Amino acid sequence: MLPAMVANPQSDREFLEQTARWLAAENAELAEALPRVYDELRSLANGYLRRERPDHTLQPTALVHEAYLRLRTQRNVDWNNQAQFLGIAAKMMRRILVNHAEKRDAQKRGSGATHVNLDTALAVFDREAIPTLDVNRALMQLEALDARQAQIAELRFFGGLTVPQTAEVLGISPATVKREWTTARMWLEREITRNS
Amino acid sequence: MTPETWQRVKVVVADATDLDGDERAQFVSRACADDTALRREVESVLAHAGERFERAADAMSKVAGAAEGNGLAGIRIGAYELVREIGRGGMGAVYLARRADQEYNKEVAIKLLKRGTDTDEVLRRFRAEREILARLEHPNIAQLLDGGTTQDGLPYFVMEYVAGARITDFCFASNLSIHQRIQLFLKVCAALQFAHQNLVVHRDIKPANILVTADGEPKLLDFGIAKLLDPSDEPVDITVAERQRLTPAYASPEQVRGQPITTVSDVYALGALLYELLAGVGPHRFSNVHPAPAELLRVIAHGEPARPSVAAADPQRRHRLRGDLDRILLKALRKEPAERYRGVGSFAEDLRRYLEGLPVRARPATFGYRAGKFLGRNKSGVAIAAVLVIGGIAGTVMMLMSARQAELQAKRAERHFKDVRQLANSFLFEFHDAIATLPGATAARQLVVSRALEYLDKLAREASGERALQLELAAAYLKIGDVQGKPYTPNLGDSAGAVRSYQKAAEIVAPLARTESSAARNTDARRLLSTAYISLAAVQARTNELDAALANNERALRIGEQLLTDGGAHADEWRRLLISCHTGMGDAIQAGNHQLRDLNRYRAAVEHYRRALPIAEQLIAANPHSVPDLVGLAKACARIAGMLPPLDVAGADPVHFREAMALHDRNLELLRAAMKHEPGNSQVRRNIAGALIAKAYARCVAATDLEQAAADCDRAIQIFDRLAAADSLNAEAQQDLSYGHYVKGWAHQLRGEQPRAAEHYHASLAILEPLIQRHPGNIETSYDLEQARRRLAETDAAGAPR
Repeated sequence: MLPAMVANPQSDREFLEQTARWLAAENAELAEALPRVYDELRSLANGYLRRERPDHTLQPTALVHEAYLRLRTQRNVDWNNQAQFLGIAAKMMRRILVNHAEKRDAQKRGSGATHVNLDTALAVFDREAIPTLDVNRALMQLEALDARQAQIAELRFFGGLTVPQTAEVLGISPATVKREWTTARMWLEREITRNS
Repeated sequence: MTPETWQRVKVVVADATDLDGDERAQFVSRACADDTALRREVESVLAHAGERFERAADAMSKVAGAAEGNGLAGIRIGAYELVREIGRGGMGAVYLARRADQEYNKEVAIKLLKRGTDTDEVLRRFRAEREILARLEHPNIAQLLDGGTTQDGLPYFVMEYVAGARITDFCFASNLSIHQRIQLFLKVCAALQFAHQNLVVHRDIKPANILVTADGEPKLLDFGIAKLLDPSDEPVDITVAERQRLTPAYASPEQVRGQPITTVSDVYALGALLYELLAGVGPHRFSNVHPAPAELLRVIAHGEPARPSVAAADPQRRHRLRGDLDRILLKALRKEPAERYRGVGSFAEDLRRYLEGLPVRARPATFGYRAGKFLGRNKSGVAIAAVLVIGGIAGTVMMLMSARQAELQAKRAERHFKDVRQLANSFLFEFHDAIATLPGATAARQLVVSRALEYLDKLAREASGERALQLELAAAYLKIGDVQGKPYTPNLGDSAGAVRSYQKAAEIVAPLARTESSAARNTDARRLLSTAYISLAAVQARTNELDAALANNERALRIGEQLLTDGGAHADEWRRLLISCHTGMGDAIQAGNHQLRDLNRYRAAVEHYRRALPIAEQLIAANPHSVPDLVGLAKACARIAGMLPPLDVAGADPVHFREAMALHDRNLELLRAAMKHEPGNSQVRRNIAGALIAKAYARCVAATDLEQAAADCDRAIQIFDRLAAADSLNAEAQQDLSYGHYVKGWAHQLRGEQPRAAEHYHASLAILEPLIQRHPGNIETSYDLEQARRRLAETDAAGAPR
C-alpha cells in the first residue's frame, strides 16, 4: 500500500521529487504526469481564490477536489488504482493547505494586513480553530511513531475521505480505521495543546 | 516517545474510549498495572477528545463529496452504505456500495439519480429502466438486485457490482488474438440478442458499458437509455437530451439523424465496437471528444469508414483483417439499417462462420474465394489441393482459350477473354491473399502466382496494346517478386528471382509511365513503377548490392517527387513514398559503414535522413492523428538522432549532441501522441522504450547527465520487461530487455558505481546467454553478448580491491 513517503518535504519541488521517485517504481507514466497534476491543482485553487466568492466559504476546497476528480477521469493518466490516487491526492491537499497557511502567517507577521482571500481556502479548519501548521507538524511526529496511523489521519483530515473510503483505500476494515482515527485525533489534540 | 510505547498507549486508549467515568478509570489502572509512565501517557491522551478534528474531517468529506457526487459517499441507502463513486452517466452517478450492517461483505453497484435532474421525464425513464433490468436475467448481463426511492425521493437501484476492465482495455492488455477477441465479442452478442428477444434495445453500446471480469466473462451494464419495444409503449423517438448524451464513436446514423432506433441500431454499435477491438481504432475520426451536431451528422451519417484492414496500424493485423473481416464489419456498419445484418444473431452467425473458416454471408461467392476457404479449412493438404485446383483451373482456361481459337465470333471471344482474365486475377489476388498467411503456404503461393502469371502473359501477348492489361501484368510480376524474395516477409529466399520479376514489372510499366505519353498523368503506372524500383532496392540492399539499391531508390525518388509536384488527390501517398526512398537511401549508404570508417558516406546518409524529416512533418500537419505517420516521423527523428552523437568519432561536437537530444525528445513526444491514439499498440510502446534507451545511450557516450540516463533506462526496462513477459517467445523483446540492462549498467559504470553496473551486466547476460543458444547465428545477439562480457570484465577489474 502507500508508504509514508513524504516525511518532511521542505519545498514543493522536494515534495514532487519524493512522490515521483516513489511512484516511478509503481507507474512510470503516472510519475511523469505528477508535476502537471500538482500544477493544475494549485492553479485551480489560486484561480478560484482570485475570483472571491465570499458567499461560499467551502468552495475552494471543493474546487481542489473537483480538480483532482477531473484529473482522475483523464484517460491519458493511467491511475493504477483508486487507492493510489486518493493517497496522493490527500498528500497534495495537505501540501496545498499547509502552503496557504504558511503564506497567510507570513503576511500576518509582515504587515498586519487584513486577511487575504487565501484564508477562505482554510475555512473548514478555521471554523474549528484548527492550527493547520501545528497539525502538520504533529502529523509528521506521528509519521515517525506509526506510519499507517498517520496515513489514516492524513486521508481523513486532508483528503476528506470518509471512514469506509479510507478503509477501502488502505484495504483494512472500517472498524480498524475508526479505532486508529479516534486515537490519532486524541493524540494530535494532545500534542497541539501541549506545544501551544 | 518510541513507536513501541505509542503502540502500547494506543491499545489502552482505544479500549478505554469505549468506556465512561469510573469504568474507564478502573480499566486504565488495571491495564497499566504499575507502569506509571504508561499510565501518565494514557491519561494525558485520554484527556483530549479531539472532537474538532472529527468535525473538520467530516466537513472535508462533505466538501469532497460535494465535488465527487451529491455528497453521498458514506451515506446509507436501504441496507447499503455508499463507499465511493465508480461511474457517472447522463442521468446519475453509480456508486460502489456495501451492506451497512456488515453481516456479509457483499459489494453492489448503486445507481442513483443526480439531484437537480430529477424531472418527471427522467424519473419516468428511470422507472422504466428498473422494469427492463428486472426482466433481464442472463450470465452476461449485470443483474438488477433491488430498487427503491431514497428518503429524499431520489430513485435508485442496486445492481450486481462488476469488477472488471472495459472490453477494449481488456483485449489490448491481455493481448488477445483476433480469434479470441471475436470469441469474447460473441458472448456480448449473445447477451444482447437475449435482450432483443425481451424487446429491449440497449442504445448505448460502448466499451464503458461492457466490462470483462478477471475470469474473462463480459458483462453488459447500464441499459440506461434502453426503451421497451413494447407496442404499448409510446413511439420511440430520440429526445434532444438523448442525442446530446450519445457516444459519438458508437452512435448509429439513425441515432444522429433522430430517426427510430431499432435492434439494428445495436448491430451498428456492435459493429463499431468490434471494429475498434480488431483494428485498434474506431471506424470514425472526430475533431474532439464532443463533436458539434453538424460534425456528428457529417461523419456518422455520411462519412464512409475505412476498411478495418486499412485503418489498423499493425501490418500483420492488417493482413488478418483483409477480406472477410473487412466485409463483415462494413456490413454491420452500413448507413442504411436495411443493408446491415438483420439482427445481432445473423451478425454473430457470420462471425462464427468466419471462425470456422466457412464462407461468410457478407461476401459474394466467387470461385477463387470459395477455393481459398476450402484450402483454409484443410491446411494440411494445402500444397496438394492447390496443385489440384490449379490443374482444374488450367484445364478450364485451356478449354476457354481453345474455344476462343475455334470460335471466330468476336463477341464470344471477347467474353472468354474477359473470363480468363477475371479468373487469373481472382486467382492472383483473392486466392493468393486467402492462403498467404497459412503456415507453409509459400510454395503454394508461388505456384498460384506463377500459373496465374502464365495466363496473363499469354493474354497480354494477344492484346499487347491494352493498357489496363499491361498494368495488371506488372502488378502480377510485383506480387510474384514479393513471394520470391521480399525482405522481412515470408518468402522463398529467391532474391535473384525476385529481382528478375521486379525488373520485368518495371519493363512492362515503364513505357506507360512516361508522363508525356498519355492522359490522366499515368498516376497508376507511375505508382507501380516506383513500387517496382523500391522493391528492387530493398532486395538489393539485402544482398549488399548497395550501388544498385541506391540507383533504384533514386529512380523511385524522382517519380515520387514528380508525382508530388503534379499535385492531385494522393499527395500523402507520394510523401510516404518519398520518405521511404530517402530512408532507404540513407540506409543503403550507411550499410556496412560501421565505426564511421567513411565520413563522407556518413554525411551523405545523414543528409538523406534529414531530407525525410520535413516531408514527414508535412504528413503530420495534414494527418495529426494518423498513427502510422506519427510513427514514421518519430522514426525519421530517431534515425538522425542515432547518427549524431558519436562524439568520439566525429569529433566532440556539443551542437550535434544538443540536436540529438532534441530529436530524441521529439521522437518520444510523437510516440506518446501515437500512444494516446492507440494505447494498446505494443509496437509503439516498444519504440518509446527504445527511444528512452537511445537517449540514455547518447548521454553515456557524452558522459553527461548520467543519473537521468539511468532513470530513463529504468523506465525503458520496465516497459521491455512487460513486453517480454507478455510474449516469452519473442526473441526481439528479450533482446530489447537485455540491451536496456546493458545501457543501464554502462550509466552506472560511468558514474563509478561498479557493483550496480555489474548487477545490470549480469542481468543482460542472463538473458543473452540462453538466447544465443536458441539462435546461434544471430549476429546482433552475439555482438551484444560480447559487449556485455567486456564491460563486465571492466567493472570487475575496477571493483577489485587491489
